[in-house]
Amino acid sequence: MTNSLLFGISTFVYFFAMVLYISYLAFRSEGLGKVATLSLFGGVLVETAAIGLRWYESYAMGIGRAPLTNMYESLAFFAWTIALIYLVLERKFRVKTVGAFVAPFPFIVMAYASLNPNDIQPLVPALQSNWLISHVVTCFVGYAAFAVSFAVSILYLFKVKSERLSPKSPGSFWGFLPASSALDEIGYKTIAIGFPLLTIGIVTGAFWANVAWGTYWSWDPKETWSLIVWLIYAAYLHARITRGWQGKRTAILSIVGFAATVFCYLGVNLILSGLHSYGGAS
Amino acid sequence: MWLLMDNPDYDKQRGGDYYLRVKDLKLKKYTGLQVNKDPGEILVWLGSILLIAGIMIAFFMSHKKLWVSLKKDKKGRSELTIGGTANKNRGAFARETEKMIQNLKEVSQ
Repeated sequence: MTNSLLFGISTFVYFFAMVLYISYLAFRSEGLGKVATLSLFGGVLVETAAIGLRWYESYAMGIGRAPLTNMYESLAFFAWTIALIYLVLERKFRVKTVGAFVAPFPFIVMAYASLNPNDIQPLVPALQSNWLISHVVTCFVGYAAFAVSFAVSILYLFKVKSERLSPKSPGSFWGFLPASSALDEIGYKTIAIGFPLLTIGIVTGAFWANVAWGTYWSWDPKETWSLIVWLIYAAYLHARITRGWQGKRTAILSIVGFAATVFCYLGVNLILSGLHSYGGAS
Repeated sequence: MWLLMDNPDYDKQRGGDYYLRVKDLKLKKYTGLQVNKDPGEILVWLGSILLIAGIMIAFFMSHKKLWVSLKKDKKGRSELTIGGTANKNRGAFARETEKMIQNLKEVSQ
């Protein structure tokens, strides 16, 4: 049993979870919904085992580092976090129908991860530090929270339109989805979770940079873009809390914020070069 | 012209009357070191912690006000009126208050 086999299995389980969530939305059968949640949970369990095994294997190889250092590992962790955050939200807010829109993320991210080389490489000496875990985990949990908020915000925009067009249609497809006010609140709650984590991620990154490179901030593309992401979500929270923005405007801000997040994560790695070389195209 | 250390007779291939050959090469060894002393690091730590604490306070705590008035109505029954406001996260505050009112109703019956 190797970690890549387990990662492969988890990708398939995520795929089934996605199919089940979508069928739950289509057929509206409680049983399907239960199986969908269980299979997503199963995918998280298998992937947890895969991450643990990869960690163990890196120690067995004498490299010994947390599996969070290259594109493959970061994508796998990203998928794992999205699934986990969604499961917590589903339990807390009882919004199983949102799964059809969030569950594709772990599968697509894992499928994309599988296109990247997945061998365990040693870290360059400058990056061998315990800051790795705190920096990467906080940043990626933040990213994942933004991804969930993005999915919910898109759903919100559709839902609010359907509510306007046909206000009273409880039996329709859109009537089966959560009320737009609930979606609005989930979109806000996830950003309220992600934003402090991104802040902690940037701060731990700055302290790590100070240890590894001698400066807190060197306007590396990754740093600049994470600042842009931070400013967009800061604007979101500010507009919402002090200016009373709600609904459509904040949903659009959340979508813009996630677009910037994706560029900060993938665009910077693939297009720009810099000190954050963990996931280059090479 | 190239002179190669690993292949001292490389220049011979040129086929001239004379050729140059590498006998010995002494290089100075060097390394780049960066020394950094930052007595203000503690201040940066302090500032960062304050920043995060401030964000937590700003986003997860809110000013909440509750007004409760107890009156007697015309028939002599007591009437309890509860009103409240919060400066953020009003949805959760409304649910919380609603639940409290429900509890009070159950108690009063």
